Amino acid sequence: MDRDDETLTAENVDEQIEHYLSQPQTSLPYNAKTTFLVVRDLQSIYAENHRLEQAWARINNHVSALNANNNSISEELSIIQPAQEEKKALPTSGSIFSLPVRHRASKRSQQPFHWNWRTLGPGLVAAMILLAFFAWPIATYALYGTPIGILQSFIPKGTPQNRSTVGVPDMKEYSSQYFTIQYPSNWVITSVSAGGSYLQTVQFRPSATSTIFVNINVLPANGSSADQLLHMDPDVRLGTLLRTSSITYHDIPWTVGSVDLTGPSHTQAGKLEVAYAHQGTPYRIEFGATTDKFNAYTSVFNTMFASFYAHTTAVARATAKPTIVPSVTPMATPTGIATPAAIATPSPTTIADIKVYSSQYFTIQYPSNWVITNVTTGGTYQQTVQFRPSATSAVFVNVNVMYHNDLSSDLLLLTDPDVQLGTQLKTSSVTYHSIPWRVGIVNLLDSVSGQSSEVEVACSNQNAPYKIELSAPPAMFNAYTQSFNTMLASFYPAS
Amino acid sequence: MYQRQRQILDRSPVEKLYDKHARDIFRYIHRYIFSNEDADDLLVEVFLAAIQSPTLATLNMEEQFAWLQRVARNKVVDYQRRVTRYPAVALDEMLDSPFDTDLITPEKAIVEREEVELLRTHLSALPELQQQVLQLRFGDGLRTKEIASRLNKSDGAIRSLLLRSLNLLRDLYGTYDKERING
Repeated sequence: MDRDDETLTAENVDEQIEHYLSQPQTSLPYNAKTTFLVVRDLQSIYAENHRLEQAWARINNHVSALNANNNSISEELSIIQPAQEEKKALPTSGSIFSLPVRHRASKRSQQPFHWNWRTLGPGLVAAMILLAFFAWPIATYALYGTPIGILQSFIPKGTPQNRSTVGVPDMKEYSSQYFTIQYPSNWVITSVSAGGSYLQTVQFRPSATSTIFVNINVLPANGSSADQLLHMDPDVRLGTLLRTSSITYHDIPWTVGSVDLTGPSHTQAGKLEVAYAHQGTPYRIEFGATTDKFNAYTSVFNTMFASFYAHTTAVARATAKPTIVPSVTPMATPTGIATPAAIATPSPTTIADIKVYSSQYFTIQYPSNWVITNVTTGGTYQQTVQFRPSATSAVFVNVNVMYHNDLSSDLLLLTDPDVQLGTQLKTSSVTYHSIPWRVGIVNLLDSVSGQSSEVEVACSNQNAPYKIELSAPPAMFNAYTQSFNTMLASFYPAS
Repeated sequence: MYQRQRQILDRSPVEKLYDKHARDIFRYIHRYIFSNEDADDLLVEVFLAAIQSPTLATLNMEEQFAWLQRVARNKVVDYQRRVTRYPAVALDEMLDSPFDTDLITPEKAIVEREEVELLRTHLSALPELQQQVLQLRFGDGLRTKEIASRLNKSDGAIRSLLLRSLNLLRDLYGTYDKERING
C-alpha cells in the first residue's frame, strides 16, 4: 500500500474513485497505486457483466423474433449466421482453413470439385445433420402443432412464446453535424458514409448481419417537396407503394410511404417505410425488414423516428417566435434512474396543443394554453423565461440560463436558494437527450405571506448550466407535474 | 452480478449454459478480436448456434463447453476472413500465433487475469449490501449521493461502506502480491 492509498477517506472516497475512473486504463505504471488497480479491476468486472447482460438480452430478442415466426425458424437463423449451417455446428477439419477465403460459398461452387474421402466424409455427416435438423422440427410441428424436443428445450423460458413485437430497450444517441437520433443500445451502426448522392448516410442494425435496418440519408438541398422526393425514391419505385401518410415530429412534417418489395424481382420479401422531410435540408429515413419481421420492429422504428432531430432546422428555428404545433410527440426519451431499462416517453395526450419557445440559449415546448409572463435577460441569470397557465396564476415554470460555471448538477441543486431555504422532500435523477438532470422537490414557506408552495428544481450542467423550476401551491402541485415533466423532457439547449 | 435481473429459478438449459460459459467464451473471442462490438456480436452468434444445435443438448457439460469453444473458434476464423480480406490465408497458422504484435506480455496478462478472478471471487463473498453498493457505483456509475437516495441511506453511510469495501479488496491485492513473490 502506498502513501496515496492511505489518504483514502470516507470524505473523499467517491471523488477518488471518480478520479481513478477518469484515468486512462492503458499505460498503467508499474508501481500503480493499489486502489487504482482495485478500481480498474472492479470497473472491468462490472463492464464485462454489463456486456454479458446485453448479449443475453440480444439473444433473447433473437429468440423472441424466432418464436414469433415459428414456421420460419430455420430461415431466420440462416440469416443471422449464413456460414453457420454449412459447418459451424461441426468441428472443422484442418484442410478447410487453407481454402481461399473471399466469398467462400460462391467461390467454392465455382471451383472444380474433386471427390475424395476427406471431402466426402464430412460432407455426408454434415448433410445428415442438416437433414435431421431441418426435418425434425417440421416433423414434430406437423405431428404436434408446436416445435418440440431439443429446439424447444433450448428456447429460454423467460421469453414469451407468442411474443410478436420487439420491445424497445435502452437507447443511445447518435449525433452528427446534420442530425441526432436515438437507437437501441444493443444495435450497431453498420455504416457511416459521406459523399455520393447524399451528404451523409448512417445505417443502424440490430447486429452486423441482421436483415433489419434503419438508414438515414441527408440529401443536398434541392427544389423538390417531400412528396415529390418520396415518389422519386428509387426504393419506392422498385417496390409497390402501398400507402402514404404524413406525420409531424418536432415541428418537422414528414411524408411517409409504405413499400412492399414482394415479387419475383426481389430475392427476399421485404417491407420498407421511407420518410422524407424537406425543411431547409432534406432528410430521408428508411426503415426496412423482411415482411415477416417488419411489424415486430414497428415500435423500435417509431421510437427512433420520433427521436430524430434535424440540426439544421433547429438552428433555423432558434430565432423563430412561438408557433403552434398541431401534434407533437415529445422528443424525449427519459431514462429515470429508478427504471433504467425502460423508455418512458411522456404521453402527449394530456396536453392538447404545444407551443415551442426558442431563444439563442434553448428550445422548449409548453402547453399552448399557457402564456409567457416574463423574459428577463441579464441579472442573476443570463436569461430567465417564465411560463404560467394564465397571467395571474400562482403556478409558474421558470427556465433559467445560468452563467458558465464548473459546478456539477448535484452542486447546482444543493446550492440553489430555494433548495437551501426550503424543506427538501426528495431528489432524483433523469436524463433527456443525453443531458443528465438532478431534480429536487422542496417545500417553501413564504415568511411574509405565510403561504407555502412546492417547488421542483431541475439542474443540469453538461455544456452549459440550466435550471428549470416549477412552483405551485401544494394543493395544485401534483396536477402540474406532468406538464412540467413534459416541458423538461422537451428542453433542448441551443448548440 | 450480471444475472441479478434474471430469475434464478426456472431457467432454461440454454440460460444455464450461458451463465456457466458465456464469460469464458467471451474472453476467448476477445483474445482474438479487439473490437468490443464485434466480440459481442460473435458471442451472440455462438449462443444462437447453441440454441439451433440439434446435438448440443445430448452432450455433457464438458463436451458442451468444448462445442461452444469450437463454434467460437470458427466464428473468429470467419471474422478474420472477413476483416483481413486476404484471398488465401492459412488460418490454422493465424490462430496458432495470433499475438505476433501483441503489446501485452503473457505474464502481465496472466497476473492481471488472476487478480481480476481473485477480486471476483471475493466480491461474491461480500455481504449483499456491499455488493449492491459496488454494483451501483462501478456498474451503474452512480455517485454516493445517488446510491444513498436509492437505498434510503445517508451519503455518509454509503461512503463508509464503499471505503470499507475498497480497503478490504485492496488488502487482497497486497496479500496476493506477497504470495506471488514468495512463490
